[in-house]
Amino acid sequence: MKLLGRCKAQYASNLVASKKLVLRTDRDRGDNPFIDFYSNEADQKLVIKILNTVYIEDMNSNPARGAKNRTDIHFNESQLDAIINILSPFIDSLSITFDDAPRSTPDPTGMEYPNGLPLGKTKPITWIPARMIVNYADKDFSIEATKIYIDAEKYTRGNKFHLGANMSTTILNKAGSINSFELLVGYSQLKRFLHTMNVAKMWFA
Amino acid sequence: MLKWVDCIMYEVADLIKDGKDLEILVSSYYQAYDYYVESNLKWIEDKEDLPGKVDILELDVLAKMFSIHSVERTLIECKRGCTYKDIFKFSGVAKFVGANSNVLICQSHDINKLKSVGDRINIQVKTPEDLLTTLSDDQQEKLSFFYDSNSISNQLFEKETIKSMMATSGKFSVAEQKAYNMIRGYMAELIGKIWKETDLIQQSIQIKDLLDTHSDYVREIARLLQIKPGNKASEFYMNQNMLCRAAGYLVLKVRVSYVICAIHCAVDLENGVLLELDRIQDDSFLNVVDLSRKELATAVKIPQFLQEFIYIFGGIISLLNDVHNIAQYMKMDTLEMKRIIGLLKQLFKLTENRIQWGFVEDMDVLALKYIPTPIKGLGLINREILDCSIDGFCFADQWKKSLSIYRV
Repeated sequence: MKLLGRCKAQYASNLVASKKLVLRTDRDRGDNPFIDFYSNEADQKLVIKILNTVYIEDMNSNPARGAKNRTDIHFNESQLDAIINILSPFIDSLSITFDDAPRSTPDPTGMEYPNGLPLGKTKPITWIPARMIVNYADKDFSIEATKIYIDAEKYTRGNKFHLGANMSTTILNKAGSINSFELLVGYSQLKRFLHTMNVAKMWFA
Repeated sequence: MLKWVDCIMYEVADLIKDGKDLEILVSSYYQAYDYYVESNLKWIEDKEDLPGKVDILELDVLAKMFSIHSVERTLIECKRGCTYKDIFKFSGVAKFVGANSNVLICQSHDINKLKSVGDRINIQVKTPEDLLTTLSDDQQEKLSFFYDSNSISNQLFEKETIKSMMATSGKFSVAEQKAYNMIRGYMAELIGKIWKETDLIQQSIQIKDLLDTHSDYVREIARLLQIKPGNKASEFYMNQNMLCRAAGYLVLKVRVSYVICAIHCAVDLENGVLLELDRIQDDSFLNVVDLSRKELATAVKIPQFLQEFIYIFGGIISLLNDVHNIAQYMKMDTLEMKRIIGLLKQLFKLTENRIQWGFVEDMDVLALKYIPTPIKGLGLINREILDCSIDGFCFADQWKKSLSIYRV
């Protein structure tokens, strides 16, 4: 795998109801998470890893209530710019046919808080097929999702680019020796993935 | 871009190399004049004692002008090397079709004599040059846009063009030939039978039958061709295979015809024409008619809007920065355009299960379903000609590139 670049991440959180556990990192509370981008030519996949200061915590809320098998990842606008700068040259250099079939876009935030308090204005953008692996290395298990929903959110605390995933309830073996969030996106989805960031930026403006 | 008026004196003869070119030019001309146009029409009947169909004759263009008072129909026949025999033959067809006016566009050395014959039998005889001299600058530009998209639309169904893009270039496998025959058969129903049905209720029943008979048509073709994986949405297969692309585009045309038929019913009903709606069993169609009657002033703009939206703008609109530009081109304000799109969304909705089969909204782009990629590409090129931004379209390069195999 070839490292394309590294930048700061803002927030990532996963909830596993059956284990009553949370995997979390949050720059607002003083954590220092990073996001690494690798190209995997053999598998034609972009590998995205969020790591460093990713902690396992007990779930405080009632695991029987609400959507408790989710992953949410946030980037703020400056982090978005950094990601675009890393990914643009790589994606522009790909001479492949991208998957351009239009797809209807459910609201991931709406699904997350169907009856909850509104957190701000949200804009559903699209979804992509991608493998998300959330690794609880210290607890020897991992969980996965196969679909990532993407939206933009205008909150009072700032604008957020949001990746959301409903995780499978199947508990898998751990996928490495460190706590991490990992996303594997096929090259054919990358044009769409990059464009979602530009759509978010245009909406924020 | 072609400036048609500049071409008149010395280039029309070169541009119109065959009857098909003339037909495309004439279709585009009427579209530039805001008619809703159906073209490539045939008269097809089932054989009485044998399986199969028989082509009675070919007709070129049926142009419809929608208003809240009526739907005026103009039947147009295009003929190169026109003779007296042709004008009398067309006169007979015109009587049967019963359009409000009938036009024969022809190239002939005897044009003045043909015109005077036409005057006596109520057929307007015109030359391509007669048409082109009436166009304003805006209409010339619009004609050029329509000319290109009509040309590509035809090519999307052309056997040789499709063949050239198959796995074994220039050849059909047995399954591919079967799929192509199925598509031509489906198309024959639309352009060979449905258009000439003057009873709107019967027409709507025929279109519904066509939709029901092939309710999952693109995937039906994909299954026949054994395209893997088998669980994808129709548009995936349209991008993978030219036969699936043709099938999807045909489905779009049939669906649009259904909506247009409903709006035609609404106009007739509001103007005192008695239609036997109780013969219709499709609640969603009745709902569309009802809705169109309630918002008739907006509904009658839909045929022209759909035509320009698909053939000039590729059936796609970026909600972030495109709405104003397209509205301006269509000479309406953004509110009016949003009202038309809003009504269209409702018209495309099936009552029974609320499936939205008309539009999909993805990455802030509202797109009609089943638009072939080259038509989208052309919509983007037209935007560039009009100095409109295409930044909102993620796959702009890919869609424009898809045009390269077509003659534009």
